[in-house]
This record gives sequence, C-alpha cells and structure tokens, in this order.
Amino acid sequence: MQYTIGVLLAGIIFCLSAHAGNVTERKLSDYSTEDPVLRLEGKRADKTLSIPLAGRQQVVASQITLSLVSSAALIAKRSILNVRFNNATIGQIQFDPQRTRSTSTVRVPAELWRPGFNNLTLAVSQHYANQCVDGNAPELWSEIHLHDSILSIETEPATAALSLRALSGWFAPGIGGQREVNIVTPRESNSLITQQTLPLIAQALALRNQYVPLQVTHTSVTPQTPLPALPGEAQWNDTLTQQYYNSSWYTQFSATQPLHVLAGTKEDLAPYLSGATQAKITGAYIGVEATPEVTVNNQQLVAAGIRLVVSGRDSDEVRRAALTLALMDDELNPDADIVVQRTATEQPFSAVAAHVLRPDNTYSFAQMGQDNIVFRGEDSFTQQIALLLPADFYVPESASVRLNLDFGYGAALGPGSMMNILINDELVHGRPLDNVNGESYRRYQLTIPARHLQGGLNLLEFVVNMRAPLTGQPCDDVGGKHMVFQVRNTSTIDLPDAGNVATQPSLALFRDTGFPFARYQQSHPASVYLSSPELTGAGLTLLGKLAQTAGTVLPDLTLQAGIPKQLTDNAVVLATPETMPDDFLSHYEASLASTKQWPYRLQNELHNRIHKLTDNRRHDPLKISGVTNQQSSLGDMAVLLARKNPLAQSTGNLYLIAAQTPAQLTERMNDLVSLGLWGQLAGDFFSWEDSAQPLIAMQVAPQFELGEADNRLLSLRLWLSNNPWYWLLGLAFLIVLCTWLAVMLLKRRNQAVTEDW
Amino acid sequence: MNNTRPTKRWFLGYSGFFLLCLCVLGAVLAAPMDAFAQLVVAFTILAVIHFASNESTFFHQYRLYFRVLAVLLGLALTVRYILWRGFFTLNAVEWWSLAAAWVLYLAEVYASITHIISCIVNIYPLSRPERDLTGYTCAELPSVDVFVPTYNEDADILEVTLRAALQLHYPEHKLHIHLLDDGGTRQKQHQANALAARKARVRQQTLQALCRQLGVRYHTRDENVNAKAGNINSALPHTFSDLIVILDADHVPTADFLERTVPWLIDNEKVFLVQTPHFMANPDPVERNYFSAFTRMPSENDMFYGTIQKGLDFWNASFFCGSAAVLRRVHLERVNGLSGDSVTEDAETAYDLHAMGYESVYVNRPMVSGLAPETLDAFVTQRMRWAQGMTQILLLKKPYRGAGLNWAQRLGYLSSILFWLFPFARIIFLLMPLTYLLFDLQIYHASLQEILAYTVPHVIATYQLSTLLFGRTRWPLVSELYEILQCTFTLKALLKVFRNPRAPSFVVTPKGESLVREYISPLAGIFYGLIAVVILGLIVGLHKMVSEPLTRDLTVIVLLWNTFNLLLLFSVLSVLIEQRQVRGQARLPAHDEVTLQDPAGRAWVGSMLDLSLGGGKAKIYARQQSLPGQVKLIGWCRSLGRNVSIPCWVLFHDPVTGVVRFSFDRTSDAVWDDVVAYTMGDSRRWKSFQRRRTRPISYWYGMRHVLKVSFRPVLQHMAMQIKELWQQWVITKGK
Repeated sequence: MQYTIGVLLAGIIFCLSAHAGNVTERKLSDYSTEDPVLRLEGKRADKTLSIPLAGRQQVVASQITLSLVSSAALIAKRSILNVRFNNATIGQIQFDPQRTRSTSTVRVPAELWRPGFNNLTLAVSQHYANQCVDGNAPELWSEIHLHDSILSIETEPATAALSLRALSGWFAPGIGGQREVNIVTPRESNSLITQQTLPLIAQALALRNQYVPLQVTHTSVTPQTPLPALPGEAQWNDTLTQQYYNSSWYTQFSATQPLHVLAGTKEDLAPYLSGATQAKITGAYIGVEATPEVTVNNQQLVAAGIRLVVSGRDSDEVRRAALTLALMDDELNPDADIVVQRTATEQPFSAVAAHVLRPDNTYSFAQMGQDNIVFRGEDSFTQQIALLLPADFYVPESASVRLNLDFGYGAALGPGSMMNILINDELVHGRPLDNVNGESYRRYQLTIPARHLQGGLNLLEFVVNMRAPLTGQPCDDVGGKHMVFQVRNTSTIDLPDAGNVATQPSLALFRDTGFPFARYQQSHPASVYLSSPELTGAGLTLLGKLAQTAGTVLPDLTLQAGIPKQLTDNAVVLATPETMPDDFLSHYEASLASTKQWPYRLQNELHNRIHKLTDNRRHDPLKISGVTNQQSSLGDMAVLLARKNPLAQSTGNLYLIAAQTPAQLTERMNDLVSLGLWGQLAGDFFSWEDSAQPLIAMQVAPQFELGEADNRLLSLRLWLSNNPWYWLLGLAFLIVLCTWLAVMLLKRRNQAVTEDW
Repeated sequence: MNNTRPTKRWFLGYSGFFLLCLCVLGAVLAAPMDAFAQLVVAFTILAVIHFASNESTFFHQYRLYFRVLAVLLGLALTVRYILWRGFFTLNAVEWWSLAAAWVLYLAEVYASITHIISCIVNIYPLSRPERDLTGYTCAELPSVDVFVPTYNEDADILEVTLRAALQLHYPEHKLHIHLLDDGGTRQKQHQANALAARKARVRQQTLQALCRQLGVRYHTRDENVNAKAGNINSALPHTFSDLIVILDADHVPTADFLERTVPWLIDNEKVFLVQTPHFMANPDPVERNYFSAFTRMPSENDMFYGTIQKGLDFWNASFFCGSAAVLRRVHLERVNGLSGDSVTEDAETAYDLHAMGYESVYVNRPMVSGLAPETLDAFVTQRMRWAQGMTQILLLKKPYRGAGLNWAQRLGYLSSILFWLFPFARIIFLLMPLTYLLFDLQIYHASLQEILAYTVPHVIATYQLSTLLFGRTRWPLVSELYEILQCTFTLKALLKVFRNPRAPSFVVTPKGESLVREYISPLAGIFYGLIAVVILGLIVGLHKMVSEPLTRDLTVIVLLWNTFNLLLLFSVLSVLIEQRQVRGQARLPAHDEVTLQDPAGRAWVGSMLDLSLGGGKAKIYARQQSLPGQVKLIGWCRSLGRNVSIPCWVLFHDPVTGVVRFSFDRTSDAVWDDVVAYTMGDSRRWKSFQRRRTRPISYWYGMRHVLKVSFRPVLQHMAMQIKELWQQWVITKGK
C-alpha cells in the first residue's frame, strides 16, 4: 500500500514537474496554407504539414488530436490513416464504416522533434473492397478537419551556454519562439538612439522571427535611487546591492519573453550594466548575458532573465551595432558578445532582400534556392517556386519572360499524364506526358508575356499529373511507383529589363513587399512619425513587420517624435485624434482628427458593397460625392489610410494609422501585424478592431504612379499612359499644324502649276 | 509661251516639309505608352479620319484641309505600326520563326512604304481645264505625225484606227498618218519558216493596199530590233512633223484628240508629253468574269488614269503609257527616240526626259478607245511585261537616286515602280498564316490587346485612306483580287529580272481573241493548289484553336487572316472561269436620240441603248410597230458635225417594248467612215461611260459583295471539272 501510494505520489510529482514547462496548443490548420478541410482521395494519398520548432526549446511531451471524417464505403482493417512524424510512423488509425466521424489522439514521441521544421505526414490507404479496387472510385475518400485538429506541445528551454548564436533560438518562427520583446533605453539617451537604433533592433529581431510577427514594446528607464524597500526585516548590503544592480531590475518581464534588449551608449547604460560588461564595450557592442534572480527572504525581488545589450561608446557605434545585429548570421557567432570594428555594406544600401530577382538578369532555379523537383508515383503533384520581384517591377506589354526548362519524365506514363505550368494562377503552358519511352528536354523554352508577373511575390507553379498505364485487364492495376518526373534546378528564368514604378497608394503592395519603404534601386529615407512617445512600441512593431515583409533590414527607416510640417516623402504617422493637429490633412477626403471627416465615396462603396453581398439586384449603386464631418470617437477601431503625401518635397505616400488612445493603437498595431489581418490589407482605406478580419478595406483616393524620378522615358511612358488625351491633344495640334503647312505648300504648288493656264 | 515657273523651289520646300513631318510624327508616335492608351488614341484618330474623309468629299473651302488631315493621320498610324512592329514584335524563340517573322515584317514594310508614297503622290490630283484650238491660227499650229505601230494585228483592227486617225480635227496639211508595220519587215519576209514568211509578205501587201486606199503612209524596216520602240525610232528619220502622236494598233482616237492635247504643247515649250487615258472598249478578264462587272465597277485602268496619273501630274511626274499620247519630236530626238533598255519603253522615255528637266501634262479625258486583253493568259502576259519593265527601270535607272529628278518626281516614279513588286508581298501575306497554322512558327509576337491597339487601327486606316484617295476608281478588295490573280506568275517574271535586268524581251499582248465557249483558264492549277493549302491551314487551325487553348487568341487572329485569304482565292476562282464572248466588238451604253427610217420613208424615233462598231440596240418610242428588215439609222454625229445616215439590218424587234437590235451594213467607204465617226469619234461617249461606273462604295458593301460572289465559283469549278473528267472518260471508253 505504502509502495502504491509512493508510486502514485512520484507519478503526480513527475506529472507536475512535466507540466512545469510551457504548453502550446495550435490548430493544424495554422500549418497549412490550403483549405482547412484536408480531403484525401484515392487508394493512397498523403499530405505533409511542416511544423516549426524554435531552437533552444526542448519538447517534453506532445500529442496530436485529429478530427476525422471518412467515407462509409471504406472497409475496416484495410482502410487506415497512418500518422508519421519526421518519417516515423507514430500512429495508425483505422477507418470505421460504422463510425464515420471520429477523433483520435496520437502521441508524438518527444525524441522525434528536432529544431526547425518537422514533417507531419498524414497518409491514407483506402479500400472499398478486398480486391479490384478502382483507385479513381469516388467513394475512396476521407477528410481531416485541420481547424479542429490540435497539436499540443509542452516545451521547456534547453539548457545551453549563452551565445549570440542562440539568438535565432529565441527569435524563430517555430513553437516556443519569443513573440514579444521589450527594448529598454535610458531616458537620458541621445534622441538618435530612438530615431535610428531602435528601428534597426526591432527589425533585426523581427527578421529572426521570419514571418511570425514580433510585438515590440519600449521602456524608457531612469537609474533607480534610492533602492527599493526590502520585504520584512531585510536590509540592503553590498552583496545584495551588487547583485541587484547586476540583475534586470529596471524592467518587468514575463515567462513569454525571457529576453529583453538593453540599448544605449556605454555611458548611458553604466547604471544598468555590470562593470565587467561595461569593460567589454570598447566599440560597437552586441552581447547577450543572463541576469541573476534577486531573492530576499524567499521572495523574488527581480526575476532571472536574459538580455541582449546593444551598445557602443557613442550613438554612431550603437547604431552600427544595431545594424550588425540586423545583418549578421547568428551561426557564425559562438561567443556571447562581439565588438564590431567595421561594417562595410554596399553603397547605396539596397533595401531589397538577396532573394529578390532583379530585372534584366537570368537566374537558375538553383540560384533561387530551389532543389531539383522530383515527383514519383501515381498522383497529382504541385510545386510552387516563388519569384520575388521588386515591388515596383514595371514592364511594357511587349516584354517577355523566358523560361528555359530542363525537365524530363520517365517511361511508361499512362494516359492522362500531363504537366501544366501556371504563373500567378494563370495557365501559361500545358503539355501531355504521352511518350511511352519518356522524354528529356534541355532548355525547353517558353516565352511568356512579362505582364503575367507583378511587383512582389509571384508564383511559378508546376502541376504534374501522373497516371499509371492501363493494362486493359480487369483488376490488373499497374503500380505507379515506376513513374518519375523531374525539373532540374539548372532550369533558368530570363527576366526582361524593367522600370521601377508602382501604382499608389496600394496597401496590397505595402502588404506584400513593404513598398515604398523597401525599394529596389535607391535608398529612400523614410520615417515613422509618432504623435506621442507612448506609441514608440507600436512604431517599432510596425517597423519589424516591414522588415519581415521586405525580407531584409530597412536601414533608412527612422522613428521621429512629433508631426512636423514637412515629412519625408514616404512616411507613416501614428496618432490618436487628440494628438493629431486639427488641420492635419484636413483637405483630404478622409480625416481622422478630432472632427472626423468621411468621404461619401467611402460611404457609397460601403453601402454598395453591402447590397452586392446581399445580392440585392434592385439596388441602384449609390454615387454621390461629398464629405461628412462629425464629432465622434474611433471606439475600438483603428484606421489605416494611405494617401499621396502632401507634406513631402517630392512624390511619396503617407500612411496614417490612428486609434482612439495610444494603448488602443498599440493593441491594434499588434492586431495589424498578425498574419491573418496583415494578409487582408488592401485598397487604401483599412480599418479594423481585432486581428480576425478588417471592418473595411477599400480604395478611396485617386491613384498615382510612384517610381524612378530620374528615368525620364519611363516617366513619360507612365504619364502618357495615364493621360493619353493630353498626348492626343498634342498630336492633334501637331497634325493640325502639319496639315495647315501642307495645305499652304500644296496651294502654292497648285498656283505655280496653274498660273499660266 | 515660255513657262518659267519656280518648280524646283517649291518641290524642295515640300520635300523638306515632308521630311520634317515624318521626323516630328515619328518622334511623337515613338512616345512610349501602354497598349490601352494606344488603343484609345488609335481609335480616336480613326474616328477623326472618318470624319475628315467624309468632310473632304463635300465641296467647300476647307475640303483640302480635311483631305490632308485625314492622310496625315492615317499615315501617322501606319508609321506608328511599323515602328512598333520593328521595335517590339520581332522576337522569336527559334531561327525559323525569326526568319519567318522578319520576312513578314519586310513585306509589311514594303506595303507600308508603297502606301505612304502612294498617299503623298496622290494627295492632290490635278484637274486640268479642257482646252481646244480656238484662238490659234493655222500657222501657229504645229504639224503632227500620227504613228500607228503594228506587229501582228488584223487589218480590220488597223483600218478602224487609221480611219479614225484620218478624221482627227486638225488642218489636213499638218496631219500625217503613218502605219509602222513590224509584221512585214524584211526579216519577217525572209524568215526560215516559209509559211510565216509568206504570211508576212501577204500581210505587207494587204496593209500597203489599205494604206493606199486610205491615204496613209506605210513604213516598215529591215529587222525587228527593239520591238515597238525600235519600230517607232526607225520611222522618226523618215517623218518631219513637230509633234508625234503614238497610237497602238487597236487604239481608236476620237476626233477631238488633237484639239484637246496640242494646246498644252503650244503654250509651254518645255512640255515633252501630253498623255491621255486609255479607254478600254471591252472588259478585261477580271471585269468580264468577275460577275460581269464591266459596266458597273471601275476597272484597274480607271484607277490608274482617273486618279494616279492626275496625282503624278501635280508633281510633273505623269509618264508616257505607250499610246494615246502626243510627244514633241525635238525632245524625243534629244534622247535618240524612245528608250529601249527596258520592255516598258514608254515609262523609261518619260523618265529620261523628266530627268532632263522637261515637263509632262496629263489630260484626263478619254479620247482613245482600245482593247483590253480578252483572256487571262493575255492579261497576265501584259502585266508580266509591265512588271518586268518597271523593275528594269528600278534596277537600271535607279530612280531613288533620281539624277535630274526632284524629290516629288522620284517619289512619283518610285510609287509606280514599287507597286509592281507586289507579288513578293502578296505571296508572303498568302502563305505566312500557314507557317503558323501548319508549322507552328511564331511569326507575330504580340498580345491581343496590342494587335487591337496597333495592327487593327493600321489596317483600318489604310483602307480609309485608300477609300479617300481611290474610292471612286477602285472598289474595296478588288485590288487584292487583281494582285492575287497575278502574283504567282508575275513573281517568276520578276525573279528573272532580278537575276538579269536586261534579260526580258518585249512580248506583244495578244488582243482581239474571241471566246467561243465558257472554260476554265489553264492558269487555274496553281490556285487550286493554293486553295488546298489554305483550306488545310484552316482545318489545322480550327483543330489548333480547340485543342490548344493557350494560344487561342493568336490562333483566332491568324485564322481570320487565313479565311480572308481563302475568300480572296475563291473570288479569284470566279475570274478563272473564262466567260463566253460572242460579239466581235464590245457594246457600250449610248443615249443618243436616233431615227430609224425604212426605204419607204416611214420613220421611228427612239434612243440608243448601246452601240458598237458592228451595230447597236435602240428603243423606239412607238409600240406595236412592224419594222422592215432593213432601215437607216439617222443620228447626230458630233465629231462630223452633221447627221449621219447608216444603213442597218434589223436583227430583232420587240413590238411590245420597242427594243430593236440591228447591225450596220457597210455598203461603202463613206458609210464605214460614218460608222467609225458615229460610234468611235465622240469622246463624250467615253467620258460619260467612265463617269457612270466610277462611283464610291463602302468597304462593307465591297466586303459583302466579295462574300456574295465568292462561293458560287467553287461549285462552278467543281461542276466544270467533273464534266470535263466525265467527257474525257466517255471519250476514253469510246476508244
């Protein structure tokens, strides 16, 4: 009995200790870009989901709960869902024709997890009879409802020596990665730190998070004097004081953000750093260090933590350190701190990621990071290749993209085997794979109008369908394992020369590429203007998101306090109605100052859209113009307006983001950068009040072209394209002039001919 | 008398201005713009052209402004199209496609250049006033030699021409008629072929007798050197008049020919040539076979003489057409008579004299009636000679360098010469769709939107300008028909010239042939082949359109192009059926008031319906009459200035309608002279006929018309070929 109780207690203690880690539950639909209902059809089918796990995380326990629906025609025992994790089978779920809807839980052994991407494969083998099963029979299906299927994972930080290499472990898109970060600066810091350095730090950390948003907060601190009162009878002594100042006493942080950033010059940071750390700051400094817990009388005064120190002897060195943080490859830094002596970047710095394809160049698929594409077996296959073009990619109609494909397919493909090539979901080429001996091509050339491509992300998609040959005999299926199709990564894409122009304002382009803040050719200074210092965190969060969108650091983006009369050409203004000057952009159709001004057009479109959605065919579209001025609040809503910037020296965009209070704006900013809402940015007027979906997204303001100011020919082309009537008038004038002169000459000639008649 | 007009200065002014216009328009048109904007602009311009073209057809003071505006706008679209094609559409992924694309482009450039030059040349057709000899004393009038060169024409044909020449209104002592017989030369009479030699001797005797009878001087020579030019040149030393009129053997002049031409030569001593139109009294094979369009549709001839020569005349570039012209002897002698380097000695001579600074005049009044070739074979033979001759001038004289010519004259000659290179372009336009449909060659690298923005406006503008400039004298698509008909044969002839520019020899156009039965021309074979290939292309194209959705846009466009070619080829089929021609002479409409009188003195008043040298048709006003078998036709003869009374045989009389058909009874030379004078001597009759059939029709009417007459010939050909095969089979079986 005592033994039994002892075992039970040990079990409970183990369980409790096991649950001491961080438990995360995620829907499987989070890892699929396709329909949340995964339908698997045919005799065999599978789908693989990639589940990222952040580095420095150790999985304690995990399980997957699958919500299944299967065809009632499937026979038991032979119809099975195999669940594989990193290619190891971790579960076999039999489909029961008597119970077509079911939920099954499969434990994922912790040892199968590895940092980075983990493959969860859901593979079915389905039969409706014991023999002669037609693989195309419609009753061979099963569904996995990914949005009801849950991955539960309990993780705990892995114990390893602190080093800068570990930064990518904290900030990573996988489970366990840090989603929030607090950047701490001394209040008395030089304003350049806030303006230039903090944006770089926010971008550097957000870039490590790749596509997962990073919420950034900012804390401005002052040296603490006197020391806080200790609990109970405890008194400060030298050891405790030293321990206190070595800790992260200046900030509060939670378990979800174990790492914070401390940024400032060596002098400014002196009250917050240990002497040893200060001694290391002999230049642009980046260091990561653990701060101790401070406990007095078993009461935690300061929690243990990890901080990233970005510092230098002056603000320039601090900026250089931040820039290095954004550019450096963590894997190359096994040390806990580095001092940057020199940073050499190309001049001017191209704010476009290395994987952006540049016009007038030829790229092999290998250069684009694509492996050989190999499809085997009988199935439909799809492989997408991302073609990331500059956001302001602009080509005339006559320009062409050339694809030189090296591809082939093996022998004995059956009828119906084919390859289709799509660009941005538009079919550009199709080919049956119908040579029984197989075929191999080198430099199979396709010329595609370049207008199929757009600025930003483009998808080149190979859709291949391979069907096994038919024997003509009943129940004599040929297995399709012999079938193979390959596209070699020596295939190339030849991009035409292109101008740099984009139609603005366009929140869709902003969403996909970060344009106009991420530009291909030139460096364009741009700023985020804050009407209140409380909005610094929101501004930094936005800057981090922009860097993620552009895929690279945007060093020319700065943070500015206040809203001056003259803004940078491209600018973001974060403001609340109270802090926004009343006359700020008041001549615009929409104004968000204390007195709100909404254009009728906005209201018209909203009105019309509602009628369209409700399929009200008797509704006449509302077309009235004007504005409504009203005294009202924004409530929980935030608004993002994109407009041609009237406060700029030359052409540019102004993005105005407003919410009722700074806190609400910060909260809405966090909503905005979430994957779901950011992906729905569109038009030039966007409002939202949660991260689920926008309230309104529509185009209100007239559009204009933003591009290369010094490319006269391109400017002329655009101007003429947008104003053919002016060109026509000019032409008409010329023609009339020519006509008049021609008639004069003809008349004189006629006079000369006829004068002696 | 002596004209010293400042021609050079204004020509240079116009040329400079034209170049400036091209530069400015080129720069404006090269302005980069997206296809949609180009589309908007192009169709706006088309609308303006349409408006301006319409306005220019009304008589008001701004008429010329609208005309020039339309021409400049249309040419602007053409230049824009060619620039766009050259800069943006000549990409190809493989060599064959690239070669095909370039070949097509070069054909288009050729077509555009000829179009542009043609528009410039014809922008201001000169209408000269009608002049006569009133006010000139007899002493002031120059003497005139009328040359009638002949080679193998019948004496009957020559007799009519000579009788008409003798009736010319001109002082008798200053008018000398000469028959230049190249069929009875010493060389011909002593040739190895005894039968032919005997024929030559008989011919000479016959013609000499005819000349004696009529009072015409007969000439022949030893050898047939340099064909027609040599024949005329051999007669020059034996004649002495100031002016020389050249009339082909079948070219019958009206009595007022010299009255209306000679004043231009008297007033300006620099004028070396007064050319008049060739009025064809019978239809050419296209006019006859193509839905019998002779009396309704303007002929190819009308376009040249009714519009182009007038346009050339404005620039002092109208040229000699071999007949129906008056030349000044002194100028002709400066170039040693007619030139003989090419087989078109007429144009070549005019070129040489223009280059020497002399001037030409074109009088647009039909005063010479000739015969068009009756059969397709003869027609093609004639056109091949013209094409070869003009190409010879291009290669030998190089008018683009134009030593002695001003820029406008160069353009004038280039316009006339380059036109004859059409077989290259026409063959390319026929076959090029097939390279895409049958061989998948990518000949046209453009999107549908670009085609709508550039190609379609260019094509429409070209037709608009053609209608504006030539609308009265050419129906839409008829030029294409003529070109397709000739292209394959003329191409071979042109290739010979390009291989050796001096190789071609003068081939006399056969005339006066009769067609006793309807038959399919022996030239039809090659068109059957072309139709078969084009239909194959159509079938493959339809399959391609269904089975290859990715290229459907382009396939549809090429299919339309191919179908257009097929329709034209079908239309050509209708021309290839040689219609029966019963009458010896073609009858032309007439409207004279006439009286038919029987020997008893009863008379019937009526009006003529048609008339020819052989007889005519009239309608008497009185109904239910009984006409005797022989009557006299009494009518006013303008050329003779009196009533003529011509004995006739009544062939048919309908008492209900009053229609009477009759043939002339040539009882004496005097009657024969009266018949010639009455039927052929009045130029007003030709003018009226010509005016009647030169009328503009809309493009859609022309297109509808082509569609309407395109399919029947296919069935006719099939029926006739099957009938032919059946007859052959019956004959073979019978044997």
